Amino acid sequence: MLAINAPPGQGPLKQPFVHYRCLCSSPGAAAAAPIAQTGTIDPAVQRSQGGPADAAAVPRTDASSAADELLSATALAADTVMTSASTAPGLQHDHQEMAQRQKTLAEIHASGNNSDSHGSQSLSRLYFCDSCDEIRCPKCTQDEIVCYYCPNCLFDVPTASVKSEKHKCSRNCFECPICQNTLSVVSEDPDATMFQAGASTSGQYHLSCNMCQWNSQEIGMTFEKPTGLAAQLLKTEDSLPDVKEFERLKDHLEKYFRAHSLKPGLPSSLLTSIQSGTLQSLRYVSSSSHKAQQSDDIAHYTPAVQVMDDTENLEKLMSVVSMSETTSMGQRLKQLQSQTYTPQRLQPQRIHLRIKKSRRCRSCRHILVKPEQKAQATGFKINLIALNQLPNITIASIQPMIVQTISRVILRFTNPRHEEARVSVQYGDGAAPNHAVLIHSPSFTISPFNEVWEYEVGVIGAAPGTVHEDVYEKTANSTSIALDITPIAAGEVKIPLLVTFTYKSRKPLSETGSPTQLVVSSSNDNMASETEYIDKTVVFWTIIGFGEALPTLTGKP
Amino acid sequence: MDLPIVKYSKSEYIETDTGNKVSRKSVICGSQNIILGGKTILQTGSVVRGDLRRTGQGHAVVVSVGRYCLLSQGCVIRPPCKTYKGTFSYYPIKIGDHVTIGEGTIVQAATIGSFVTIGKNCVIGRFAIIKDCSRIEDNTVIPPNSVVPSFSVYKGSPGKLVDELPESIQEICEARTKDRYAKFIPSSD
Repeated sequence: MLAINAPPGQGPLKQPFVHYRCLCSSPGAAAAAPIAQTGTIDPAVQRSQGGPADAAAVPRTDASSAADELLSATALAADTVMTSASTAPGLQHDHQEMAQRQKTLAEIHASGNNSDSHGSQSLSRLYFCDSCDEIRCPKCTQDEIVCYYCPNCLFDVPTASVKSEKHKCSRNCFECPICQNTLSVVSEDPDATMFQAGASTSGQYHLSCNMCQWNSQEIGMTFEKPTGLAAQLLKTEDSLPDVKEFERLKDHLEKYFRAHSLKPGLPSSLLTSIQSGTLQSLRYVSSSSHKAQQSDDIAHYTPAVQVMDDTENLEKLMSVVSMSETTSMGQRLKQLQSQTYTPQRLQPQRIHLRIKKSRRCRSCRHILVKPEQKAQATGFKINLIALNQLPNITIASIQPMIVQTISRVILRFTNPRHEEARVSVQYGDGAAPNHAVLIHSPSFTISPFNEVWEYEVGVIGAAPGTVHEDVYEKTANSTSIALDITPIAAGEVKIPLLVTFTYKSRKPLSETGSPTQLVVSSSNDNMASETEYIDKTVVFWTIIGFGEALPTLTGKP
Repeated sequence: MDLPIVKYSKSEYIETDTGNKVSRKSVICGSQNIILGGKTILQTGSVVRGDLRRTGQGHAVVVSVGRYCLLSQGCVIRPPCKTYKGTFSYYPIKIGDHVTIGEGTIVQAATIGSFVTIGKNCVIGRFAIIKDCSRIEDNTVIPPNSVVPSFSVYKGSPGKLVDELPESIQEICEARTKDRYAKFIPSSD
C-alpha cells in the first residue's frame, strides 16, 4: 500500500510510488513567491521552473533559510484565501478573491511543476495543517518535547530531573559496554536466594548481558541489593576526571552566558546534541561561545586535568594482536568519560532517555500532533496526519512501461473524509522528459468515508444514490481513474500531477482575525448556511512514479 | 501499490466462525490453550506451541493472538520459559491486533503489542516485550528480556534502534492488515 519508510530523494526510486509534495521543499517555492506580489509571471522564472531539476535546485540551496521565511509569510497570506464560502459573497470580495486565488494557483502551479522527486514524501510521513490548508512535512513542523522516558523500563522521567540525571535512566537500566544491549540484574546463585532468603552476603548481585554473555563480575562490579543500582554507580561515575572537568567547564561558561543575558545552562536548542553525547554538546557550547569571544572577553579557562601523553597508549596499541584486545570505535563513543582502549575498563552505561514529541506548524503555530502525556500510551490528543484528511492515491494497476507505447495505469483516489469530495487532476507539463499523458476523467467526485463499510469486508459496491460518472471504477469511498501514458524516453517514468481537492467542511471557522474570517462575516445574510457548509479547496502537487520504461521492442512491426 | 490478491486452495485452509483462516499444514499443539481473535491467518508450516504450558492442573491460556494477525509460512510461536526459584516453567505469550509475523521468524516474547510488524527470519528472545506500533526489520535478533518501545524500528543483531515510525503508523497498519485479509481468498476451482 504505502511505502512507510521510503527514503525521500535518496537515489532514483525504481519501484512505482506516489509521493506528495510539501511546498516548503519544492525548488520553485522561493522563486514563485514574487509572482504572487506582482501578479505578473516573470518568463525568466517560469523558464527556470521548467528547466532541468538540477538547475532549479541551485537557488534553493543558497537561500533555503530565507526562502522558508518568505514562504511562510506568503503562504499565510495567500492560502487562507483558498477557503471560500460556497454561498456567493459580495461582488467586490468575489473579485478580490478570484484575483488572489489565481495568484495562489499560479504560485502553487509554478512551485512543483517538475518531476524532481526530491523533498516529496509518501502521504504517511506528511501532516495537514487545517488552518493553513497546506501539507506540512517533518521539515516544516517544529518539534516540542512532551515528556522524557526510559526506553527500557518505560518510566516517565520528570523534566526537572532530566538534566541532573544527565538524560539517562536513574533506575535499573544499563546497557552492555560490549554490545550495547540491555543488561539484566542477576543474583550470584539463583538457588541461594530461595534457600537462604534474607541471608545477604556482600556483592550478591551483578549485571549480565543476555546477548554477548558479558558479566559485570569480569570488571569486579557487584552490588549488595538489586534496586537503585544507578545511585550505587553514580559515585564512581561522578568521580571520573573527565566528568569533573566537564562540570567545571560548564560552570565556567554558564557564568559567561548569564552575564550576557543568554539562556543559562544548556537550553532546549542543545537537547538534540546532548542526546548524541555530552561531548558533542560541549563542542557546540565552545564553538558558539568562540564567536562571541572575539568581541567580548571571556575569562581564561585553565583545565584541572592535563592531557596525558599518548605514547604509552600508542605503544600498547601497536602490540595488539587481535581485535578483541582493544575496544571498538562504537564502544569508545558510548563511554565518553573515559574512552578507554582496554575492554576490561569499559563500564556498563545507564540507558539514554527518549522523548515524545509534539509537532507544530511553523507558519501558523497550530499544533499538528500532540501525543498523550504518558510514556506508555500510543494515542494522540491531536493528530492532523495527512492520511486522514487528503485523498489517498494508490496505483491500482499498472502495465509495464515501454517507450512510444501506450500503457494504461489505474489510479485510485480514496476519500478519508466524512463528506463527499470533488477532485480534479491536471498533468504538469513542466516535467522533463515530458511524457505524453492522457487523463481519461480529470474531474470526478469521491463518496464520503463511512464506518459501516468497515464491517462489510470483501463486499465492495457503489454507495447508494451515487451518480454514475465517466470514471474507471467507483467503489465505497474511492474512485479510480484511468491514465494512458506514453513514455517518450527510456528510464524511470515519473509524472507530476496537480490535484485540486474540494470538500465540504461543516466545521465553522473558529480562528479569529484571519483574513478568511473577515471575508465570511462580511456577508451577514448568509451566515447560518455558511457555518454549515463551507467549500474548502486544497491544491497540491503529487509525483507519481511508474517504474522503469523499457526501450522500444525491436523487430516489432 | 495495492497488495496483490493471494489465492489459496480451499482444501488447505479451515475457516473458523470468527473468520480465522488456519492452514491444515500448520502445526498447532495444544489447541485448547490457544485463542485466535478472529480474521487471523495462520499460513502453511507455521508452528504454534499451545502445549508448552505452566505446570499444574486446569485450563490455561498459553498463546493468545488478536484480530487481523498474520503468522507467515514457517514462523514459530513458542511461549517463553525460565527457571524461577528452582522450578522450570513456561509463561503465557500475548500477541495484540494487526500484527504481522514474517516468514521463518521465531517468537518467544512475553508480549507483542498491537500494530506491530516483524520481518522475515527474526529471532525474538525470551520474555522480550514489543510495545504497540513498532517494527522489527528482517533478520533481526531481539535479545531475551529486552524492550522495544512504541514507534521505533529495530534492526540488526542485537537489534538496535535505527529509525522512528510516523504518527500515522496505526492507521497504515490497520488498513494494510484489513486489506490483506480481504485479499486472502480461496481459489475458484
